[in-house]
Amino acid sequence: MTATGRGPTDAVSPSVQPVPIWPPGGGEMGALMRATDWSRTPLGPTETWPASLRTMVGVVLASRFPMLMGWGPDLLHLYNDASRAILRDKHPWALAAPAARVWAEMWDVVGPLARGVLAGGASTWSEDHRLLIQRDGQPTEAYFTFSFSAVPDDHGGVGGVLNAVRESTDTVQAERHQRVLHDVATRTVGATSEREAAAIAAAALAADELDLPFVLVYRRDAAAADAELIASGGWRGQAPPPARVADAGPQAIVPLAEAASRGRAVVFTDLAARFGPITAGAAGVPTRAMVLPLARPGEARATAFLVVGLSPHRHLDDRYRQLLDDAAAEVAQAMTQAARFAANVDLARQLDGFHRFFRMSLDMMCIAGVDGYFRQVNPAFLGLGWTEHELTSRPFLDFVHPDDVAATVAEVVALGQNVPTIHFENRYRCADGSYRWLSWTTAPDGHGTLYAIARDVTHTRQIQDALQEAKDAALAANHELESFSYSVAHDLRGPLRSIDGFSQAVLEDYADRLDADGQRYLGYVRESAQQMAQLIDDLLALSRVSRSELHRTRVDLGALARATLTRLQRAQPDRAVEVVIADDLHAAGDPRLLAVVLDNLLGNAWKFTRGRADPRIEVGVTRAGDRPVYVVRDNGAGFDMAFVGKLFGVFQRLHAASEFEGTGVGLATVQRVIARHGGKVWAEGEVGVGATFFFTLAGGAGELLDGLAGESDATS
Amino acid sequence: MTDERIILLVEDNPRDEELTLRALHKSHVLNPVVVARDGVEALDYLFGRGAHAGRDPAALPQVVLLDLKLPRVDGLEVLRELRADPRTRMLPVVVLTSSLEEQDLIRSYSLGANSYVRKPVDFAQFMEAVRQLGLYWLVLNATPPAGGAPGAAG
Repeated sequence: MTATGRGPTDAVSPSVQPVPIWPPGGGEMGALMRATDWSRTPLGPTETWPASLRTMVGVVLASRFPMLMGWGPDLLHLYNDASRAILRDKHPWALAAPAARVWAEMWDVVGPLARGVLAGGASTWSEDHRLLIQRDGQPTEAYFTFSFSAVPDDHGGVGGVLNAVRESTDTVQAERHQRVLHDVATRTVGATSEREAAAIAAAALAADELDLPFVLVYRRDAAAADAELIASGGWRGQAPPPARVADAGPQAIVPLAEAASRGRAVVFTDLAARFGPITAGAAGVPTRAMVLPLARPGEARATAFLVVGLSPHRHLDDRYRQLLDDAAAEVAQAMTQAARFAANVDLARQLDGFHRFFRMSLDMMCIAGVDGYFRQVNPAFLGLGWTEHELTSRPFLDFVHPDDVAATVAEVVALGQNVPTIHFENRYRCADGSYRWLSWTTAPDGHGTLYAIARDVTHTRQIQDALQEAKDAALAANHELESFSYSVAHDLRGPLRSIDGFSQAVLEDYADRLDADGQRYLGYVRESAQQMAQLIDDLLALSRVSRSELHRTRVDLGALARATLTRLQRAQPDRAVEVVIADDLHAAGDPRLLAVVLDNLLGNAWKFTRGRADPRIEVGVTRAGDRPVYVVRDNGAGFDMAFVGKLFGVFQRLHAASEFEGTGVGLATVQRVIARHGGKVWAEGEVGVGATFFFTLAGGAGELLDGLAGESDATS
Repeated sequence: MTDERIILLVEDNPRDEELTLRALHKSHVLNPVVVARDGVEALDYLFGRGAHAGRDPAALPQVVLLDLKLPRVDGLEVLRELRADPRTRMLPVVVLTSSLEEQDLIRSYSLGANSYVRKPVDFAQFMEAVRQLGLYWLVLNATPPAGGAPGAAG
């Protein structure tokens, strides 16, 4: 039989001729051989076969180990039942067919071995040899352990080759799978992020080029519309793998969404169309790939995906699927663990950060128990002079000032009932026996632990105490001033009264013994005494204005002005002064003090218009912004604006006493009153034309109706 | 004005005393004037004790002109004791003082002073004040019934 051009059915055609009895036994293959009309094969009728061949056939057929043999120069094939699992769809046409045809897809590998033996060479041994065998219509990876050995002919030469073979595909692939899965599991340990875990896993998986020609890992962030490539391994595309994959349904470049929604692996083809040309690797050029959703805890729908190129030399059988499933599970677990680790690292970093604050804080920080002990104190606490051990080994009440213990206990009891502490202050004893004032902010956690911050407010306290002392001193000084004023009023006026009274008595009783000069001089004595009495009264008024409490209420300035002017008119009935007082002159202020203001301003106006032919005094109001400005204007002697700065000073006078009497205290008093009302007073004047005084009071007249009446400020 | 209408002048300053007497005299107030130099003396006189033991406390002056600033017991304390005693509760008391301090005015009136007059420095004004006081308290004003308030203790 010449090998080429003949189909298997031509080679093996059962005969209805007399039933042959050789070869005996040999199972199905034995039966097939007996049924074969060997005369129509190159081997000829079995009766003509050399004895060595017949003997060898008997051995082969009887063996339960897979054995094949080739006879003659073309190595015509004979084989036993056990080897049919290897031949698969090559049976039965392989019977009596030349080896080069039966094993055409791998003859370049095994042909030389067989021919070498046939040519008298030594027996061969190949262990777990990977061969691509044509199975189910495609070259399929398979592993074999085989040996070619010579079969002698009847003349002492080599008649054929015996091939004892065992297929180890299952074992080899299983080992490979196990190894790659193990690698992923072990190498991803210690990954600190999902991305890192994915990268290590992808590289480890892709190292198994024969099973996993390329590996991509995609992940979609919760908020993102598309998935991002976070790792790849073994990629042999001319273009890089897609960095982002949009959820575009079936049209998606990689059907991630489909896998996510179906919740299981999806195979897709047309890789070249999707990714562009891919060059061949150890397993050739993959044409199919698989998307596997990476199931992670807490996710109903996968957001991470493993995309694996499928070997073109493997059928997607259970074992291959198992590998892919296991790989996806390993990657998912590695990523989950890494994410957890990352979260723990974040937490640890956060704790470390808080701890740093705890150590750095200038404020004292502590964790304490309602049992009365500090559990932890920060370094700022050591400023008290105690060691950490001293602070934590004794009840904290031991450090509290005896006078503050009761209040502290009450505070801790409240904390035990989950009432937080804000600004509680107590004194803590330092190691040197001194005490520091601490202001506490404490939050209970509800389980007997207190988180507290204490600020040392000793200095603030000292300042407060100093302030209080100063206040007390000021109050005392004020009281002294009051009694001084009282003495001034009483004691200074007494002698003046004597001076005046007895001068008058002399004038009355001894007028006849005094000449005109003597009487005139006594008159000066009286005048001076009275002037001094006035000065004392004015100073007392000024002091009273500064000391007395301010009672704001609604004041009718118009009425006050009229009362003052009436009094002035009564004192000098012969004066005729034109008075203009505006309507509705209301203000918010202390009526008694504002009366003092008007007494002084109108008293001045009255005084300085003396000697005018047409004296005129106006009291009115104007506005500056939304604030009323009260105005007292006269057309009297006026003053030189050059000296306006002296106008409101105590004892400052712009007129000679001989011209206009006065003590120089009145306007100082006015300014004091206005200042106490939070207002301002100023003046404009021109010599010989008149003077205008303006003043404001804090809070407009309109605001006063909103309950200013009750307001008062303490004596300052 | 009869002799028994005594004026009790409580005044520690002898010159003020002389000026007051002069002013009363000039104003034609001829009532006898008893002068007490401090609060103790004034109370002794009114209650008939101490230096004035044996004096009938029921014979009260027509009016008391009371200075506030006095040695030993001051004017306000005198006023308080007078008002606390039923015998002198209604005795007319005019506070005659240099002070125009609000506190003095308030205390005096709240302790039951009938009047408060400030001594002016100007003698002419002082004269006028004393004249009007004399006119009012010694002539116009009707005194409370003798024996003091009902239920007065002897």
